[in-house]
Amino acid sequence: MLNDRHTIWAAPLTALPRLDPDIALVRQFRATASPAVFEILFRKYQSPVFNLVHRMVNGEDAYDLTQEVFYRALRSLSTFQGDCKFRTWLYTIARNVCLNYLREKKVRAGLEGVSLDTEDDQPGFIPEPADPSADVSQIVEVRELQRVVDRVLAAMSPEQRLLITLRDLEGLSYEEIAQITEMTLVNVKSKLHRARQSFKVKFQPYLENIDPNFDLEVRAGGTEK
Amino acid sequence: MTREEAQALFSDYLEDALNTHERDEMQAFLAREPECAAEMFALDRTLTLLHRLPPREPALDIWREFLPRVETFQAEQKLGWIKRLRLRGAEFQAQFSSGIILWTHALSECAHARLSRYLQHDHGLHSKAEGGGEETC
Repeated sequence: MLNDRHTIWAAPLTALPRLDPDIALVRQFRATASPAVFEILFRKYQSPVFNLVHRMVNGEDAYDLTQEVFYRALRSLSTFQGDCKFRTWLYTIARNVCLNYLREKKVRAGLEGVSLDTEDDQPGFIPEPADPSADVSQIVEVRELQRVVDRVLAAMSPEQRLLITLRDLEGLSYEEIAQITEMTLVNVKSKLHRARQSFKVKFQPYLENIDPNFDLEVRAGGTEK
Repeated sequence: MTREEAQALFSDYLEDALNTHERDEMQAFLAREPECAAEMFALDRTLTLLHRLPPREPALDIWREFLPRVETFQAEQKLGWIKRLRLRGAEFQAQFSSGIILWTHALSECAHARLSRYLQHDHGLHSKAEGGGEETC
């Protein structure tokens, strides 16, 4: 009898979906408006958001834009329905912030008579990096590889950069990427494939300079300054 | 399987998203076409490097810089709706004004650049005419 009662009460409990801890934190923040609660979310996602923003804008203003992403999230937290993961929602904001920034930058450069259409106007053109030491003949350190990857990404269109960053650098699923980019799954897959091919072509000269025994895990480290 | 068809399936092959038949077909094709196999090997190596690349980490404590904005936001939330509306209005006014200033600045820069181009062109024509005049004299 006792066992039966246990099974009756245990079944619905185990069948309950586990509440996403981020959504629980969002609800807690809405209820208490405590900065400490928002700080937990901030600290959890500051690195992935910074990484995405940094790759998207090639390092420029990455700190300011990361703050802007979280500020927009803070302001619209009351509209977050919880029908997708908090991470997906935050990445959507980050994508919009970065694309707006790049669009404004292009308009500003257009006013100054400079074209930013590197992908469309001049195929194969790779803009000079902010750091001249990015021209490496032999890649033996992670920092050098980071610079080269940033340089190659900077030569691609923002959409391709976004897809490669989300899938190959942040490791998001296709479904999450489709939600963030507002594309269909098939579209994401085909565009990502094209982006990878384009990246590979631009990365090829550097690939030959990378030591085959190059081990990222041993050499990993170094923060962005 | 053609070369183009195989290239279109590279990503799926590397992510193990092909069915058994497609995978076998791809493997047979790659064994026949060493050039294509080399191309796929390069893509595989590139993606492996990307997947294992450590993320860019912020060196600064962004939260410390961000905290005042959270406090401002909270203070704003505590205001009554009329005051909040006024605040939003003032913010909009400030942003609109700075936008107008930037726009007029950009417009004047453009006009200045166009003007200097015309002047250079005009000067070029003038000096040419002068040169031509000397020749005839």
